Amino acid sequence: MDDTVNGAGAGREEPRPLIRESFFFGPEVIEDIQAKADLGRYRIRGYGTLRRLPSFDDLTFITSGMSRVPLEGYRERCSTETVLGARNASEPIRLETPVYISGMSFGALSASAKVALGRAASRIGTMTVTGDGGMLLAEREASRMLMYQVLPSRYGFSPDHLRAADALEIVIGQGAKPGTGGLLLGLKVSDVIAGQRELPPGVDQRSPVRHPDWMGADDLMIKMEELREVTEGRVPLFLKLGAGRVTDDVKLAAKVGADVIVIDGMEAGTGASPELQLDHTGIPTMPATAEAVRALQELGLEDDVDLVVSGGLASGADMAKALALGAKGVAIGTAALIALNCNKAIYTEDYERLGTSPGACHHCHTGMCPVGITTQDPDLEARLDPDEAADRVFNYLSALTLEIQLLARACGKRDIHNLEPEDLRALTVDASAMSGVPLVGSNKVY
Amino acid sequence: MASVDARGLSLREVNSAIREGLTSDGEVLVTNPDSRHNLAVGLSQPGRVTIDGNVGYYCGGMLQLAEIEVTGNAGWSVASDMQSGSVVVRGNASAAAGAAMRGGSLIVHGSTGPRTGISQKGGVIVIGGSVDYMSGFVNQRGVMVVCGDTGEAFADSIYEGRMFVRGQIADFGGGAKYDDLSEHDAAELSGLLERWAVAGTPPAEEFRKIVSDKRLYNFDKRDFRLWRTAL
Repeated sequence: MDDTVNGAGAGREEPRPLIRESFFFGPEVIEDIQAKADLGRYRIRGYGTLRRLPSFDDLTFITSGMSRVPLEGYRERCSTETVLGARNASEPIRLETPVYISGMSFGALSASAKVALGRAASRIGTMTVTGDGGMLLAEREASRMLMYQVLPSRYGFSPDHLRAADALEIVIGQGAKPGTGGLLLGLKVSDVIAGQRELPPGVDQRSPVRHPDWMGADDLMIKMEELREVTEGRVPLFLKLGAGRVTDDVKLAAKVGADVIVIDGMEAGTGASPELQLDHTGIPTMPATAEAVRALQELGLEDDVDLVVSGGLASGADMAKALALGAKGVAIGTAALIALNCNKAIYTEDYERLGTSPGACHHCHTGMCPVGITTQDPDLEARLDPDEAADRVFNYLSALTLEIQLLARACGKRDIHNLEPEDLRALTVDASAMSGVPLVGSNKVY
Repeated sequence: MASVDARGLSLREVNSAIREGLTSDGEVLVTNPDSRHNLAVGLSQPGRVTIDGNVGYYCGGMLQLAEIEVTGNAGWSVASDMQSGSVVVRGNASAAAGAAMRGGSLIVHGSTGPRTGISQKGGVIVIGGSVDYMSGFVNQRGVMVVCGDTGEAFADSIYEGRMFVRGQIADFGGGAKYDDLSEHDAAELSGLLERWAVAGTPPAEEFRKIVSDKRLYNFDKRDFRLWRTAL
């Protein structure tokens, strides 16, 4: 009997030589749906977005040639000194490099990690930043320059710590999860962390996103006056924004009197976040930098208000391009943790136990960090030697600074802050449109 | 007693004069405050400051040790981030009174606006009148006493704090519940009401106690209805 049309064998096919996966319901989507079907909530993890995004890699430097004279790459001086916050503060921050280490909490990070970052930053002459949960005294002692964050949660907030800081940063948002407060899952809320934050041990700590004592820009201006009163105008005020509505936010931040505006792009990392916010909120650092610079230029304040950018910056090339677009400084978080040992192929059996592997671990939220960085477990933390870790971060910060200098000299600059948009070209039409930098080969801005 | 006429002085000059007065005399009278913001912020020494009139935002912010009394009304966030000492407001106070305070006492004889005691981490808040919506939000520790009524979403997402309300509670926020008033609670409450002499010192037994039901401490997918409002 014929079984190919309407007979008994209708619908039966020979096995296909190629197994096709649905574009819409591929393996990652299936895994995600089934995980949520088990969890009953959004997924939470650490690190940052895993998506491919427009980045500083889409720009390139056009260095010296006949029309520009380069500096001798390994001999002639090229200043890296970076002064931040001179707009209003009587004691602005003076860094030996434009790179500093951004705010990461004691809680998200172990004390050893915070101390190692502070020691490394002090050795090279740069700054570290506290984080949600207040100031760790060991970090203050380890850090020659330490910026104190004023966060919506006010966990552990102390005017004594405020006065002991070299700069203050009012956190309005962060690039990893703009529009949302911090998260610290119960496994990491140890007795010590709970005590510092005045919370019950073991709670899933969901930090507020809105400051408790101000709502809008007008209130913030008064709050900033309070902070300046308490510190007698000595230290600069930074305002940190997650990159989103960059033009309006930067203009408001400049108008309320920020000395420094920090724009944190969507590539930024975090100790824990709803995954969909990592992947689907905010804008990338490269276009955010260009937008922020334009906003300050439109106000005529680009020489008064300093711009710092962060989020996914990993190499001196990224940072030199950010400076060329108009940033005065850059901040790193994830990259500094990687220099500490994050995702290093040691203790591999513990990575496997977490269901991950070195190079792909984003399990900061579990508190079971195999290399002792994002944990409060004493046994795991003991795996991170603060002195050796500080050496690695110091070396990395040195390498970044030398890389920025290398590119600046190649562009003929005696000061890294003389890098300018004219030194750049865009490699794609999209990057040209986003950055305002001419497209390679056409010298037109799209 | 040292005296500071705030009119005609810059804010920095007023606050500096208050600190100097506390050091020299231990007691300072500030006249003509004219509802200015950030008066007496960041004080960190013992002594008494009386501000004769109305004050703007953040009066007594980040206070340590000193005792401040405002004879009039206070703007937003009076005594926010207070660590110790006391702030007494004879009139009313606006939104976010006592926001994120970690210690000390905030006493408002009149009523307060929304978000009173938001993110309170310690210390005592006593309100002679009523508080508006979202008061007690994310209270972590400490005591809040309301002699009048509360607005909506009272005590939402609280942790370890204890709240005592004499009047009507418009609506509970997520994660709050009534608890029995223990003898210890009643004694503490009576002590506070007598010490600060608010609202005619009503008896402690007229108050109801509110604490956390702890259901928001850790996520539980079986409590979807609760978490839908909390997340």
